[in-house]
Amino acid sequence: MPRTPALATVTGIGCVCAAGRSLEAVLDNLEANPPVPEPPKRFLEVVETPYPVFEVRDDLEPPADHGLALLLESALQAVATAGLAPKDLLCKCVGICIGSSVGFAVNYLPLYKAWHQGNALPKALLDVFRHSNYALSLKERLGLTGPCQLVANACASGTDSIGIGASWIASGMCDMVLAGGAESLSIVSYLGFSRLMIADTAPCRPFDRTRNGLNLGEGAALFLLEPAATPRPGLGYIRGYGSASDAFHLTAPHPAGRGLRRAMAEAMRQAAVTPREVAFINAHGTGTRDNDKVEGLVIRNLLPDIPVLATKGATGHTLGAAGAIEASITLGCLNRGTIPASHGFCKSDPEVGVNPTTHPVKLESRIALSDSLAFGGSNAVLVLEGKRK
Amino acid sequence: MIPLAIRSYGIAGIAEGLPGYIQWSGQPSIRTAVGGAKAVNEALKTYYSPLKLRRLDAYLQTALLAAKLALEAYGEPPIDLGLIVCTGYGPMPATNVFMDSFLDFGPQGASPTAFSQTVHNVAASTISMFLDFQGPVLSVSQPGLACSSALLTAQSWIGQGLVKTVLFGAVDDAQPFLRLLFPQCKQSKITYDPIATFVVLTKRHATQGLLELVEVGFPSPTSNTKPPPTHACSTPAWIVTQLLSALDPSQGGRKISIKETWNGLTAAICVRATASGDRS
Repeated sequence: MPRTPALATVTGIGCVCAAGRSLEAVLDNLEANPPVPEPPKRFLEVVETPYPVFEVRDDLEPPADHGLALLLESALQAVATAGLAPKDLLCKCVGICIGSSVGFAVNYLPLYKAWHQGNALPKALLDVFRHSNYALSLKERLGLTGPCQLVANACASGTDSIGIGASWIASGMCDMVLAGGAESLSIVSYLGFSRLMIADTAPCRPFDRTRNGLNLGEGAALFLLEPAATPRPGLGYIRGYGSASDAFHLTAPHPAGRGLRRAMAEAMRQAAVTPREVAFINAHGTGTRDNDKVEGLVIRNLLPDIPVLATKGATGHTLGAAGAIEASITLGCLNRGTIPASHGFCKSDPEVGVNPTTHPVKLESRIALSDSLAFGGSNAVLVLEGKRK
Repeated sequence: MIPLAIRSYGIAGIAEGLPGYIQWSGQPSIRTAVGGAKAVNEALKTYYSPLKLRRLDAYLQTALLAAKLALEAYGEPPIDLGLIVCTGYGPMPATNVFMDSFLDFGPQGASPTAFSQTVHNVAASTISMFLDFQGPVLSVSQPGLACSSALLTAQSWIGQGLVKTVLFGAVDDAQPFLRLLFPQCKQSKITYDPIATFVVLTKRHATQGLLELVEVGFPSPTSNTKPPPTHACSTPAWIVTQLLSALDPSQGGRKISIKETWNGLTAAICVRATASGDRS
């Protein structure tokens, strides 16, 4: 199939999560020293059952802008790995497209609690809350003037934000786009997922027969995207992006994975890529019964015999940041020419029908997919190409 | 950039307080269901059984109704549809229900049902489920600059051939708590219940459409002018509805530019009325 032009070139990558404070550190740790989840330190006094999590900071009370700090750290990494300084962006039209599952609700609980208890709203809490939107705050911090969007497609947000950022570049709307996702661990999501009974009390086991739920995590990852024809050196390309809705249920995926199938087909059509050209897929692989079953079904139907990587056993499920962290890992693996073992996977499940890697696998092409499924039936898929010779 | 037309409007909620209501209400391409949550529920029952609606709170019902009205006003089955929903504050009522369950009854009493409705794409998901949209769906959540960036995304979707039509809208619920957060926000005086506004966007052909999307503009990177840092609301539902001022001569009429602001950040959406036989 003739190759179409890429939607965008990735010139910089920033990645911060429990597996490492840079993409290289994350890749090294996935290969040799994966972290294990532990009971949450920051709100242990509130919870009765300690569901293990992947925290980036292990202090009892991280600052209120913890999530924004993770985002800013990955943004500065992305700019630096592109060989630029933040001031170099000021003379360009730079868009910001950030995925997060929480939207406005970052730092909302302390404020609401004060109101709920009939207390006056402390000004300091109000100020923190008003400046909590990740996209707007990053735009303010970096002094940028271009378009700015917080994608709130639940757990597909990070993948969607990169796809949309790439489409802004391909449409000529921006000179550059900082696109990715960010999420900080919060008591709200911790309680929500545990009360939905889809959090595991043990380390998660994506696609494993014994899987019993997810472990939450936190982190941020950003790509600096530039036009496909940029003369500046790139780390890879966004070749295709697909997004589709299940139109089925608020919290359960469509049993046949119809939205994921459509998103995957669209991304591969846009990239003009056939399954034979795909080196691997970095799966969403949450470790929940339903997600892995449906995702496995779609992968074995559309990408039979393609190696599958599942990284949430070493990063946790970082919700709105997950797709961005996984896209970063995907591109990093493509450029190293190998994918690591998928931590947590041990026993094959015939109901799932795909087996993630249990040892490092050498890659045979420079093209890979990264996919996300989400509450609300959102599905998003990226086709990425590495620059390895 | 590909030129876009706004082909129809659907507005649900307390629409009579919106700017230019008298001028634009009653136009064939604009369908409204005016009133509070009760009126919205009654209007929605003409389409769906109460049983089907029982799990939807006022926020979701208002969004669904506005989306449905916009498609009805469009008048033909939309081809190849994408959905974009903007919200300043997301599903605040459901979020508060979840917070209440946790604060009143402790961690073991936190409501899983309420949690599943706190997800910020819940309005888009509800619309996609009820109207069976299986194309791309995007939820944008930010109290400022949401519409301008989301319109660019709609433009890129249509320009790149991903979809031919975009159902684009916004929903918010300004409850008493929100008034405490933003006491200077004048628009909150009129919105005790949710309000939602949806439009159908397509590529512009000749005189088709109600409004022509002329431009979505952001300040030039070299611009030195910066508005003062305020938190005046430019919530998405307010912005989408304000575009209708182009139909109101007393508001300027014909071609207008609506500014979205947030704490010193700005963007402008410029639209022009496309009056059949009277185009400038």
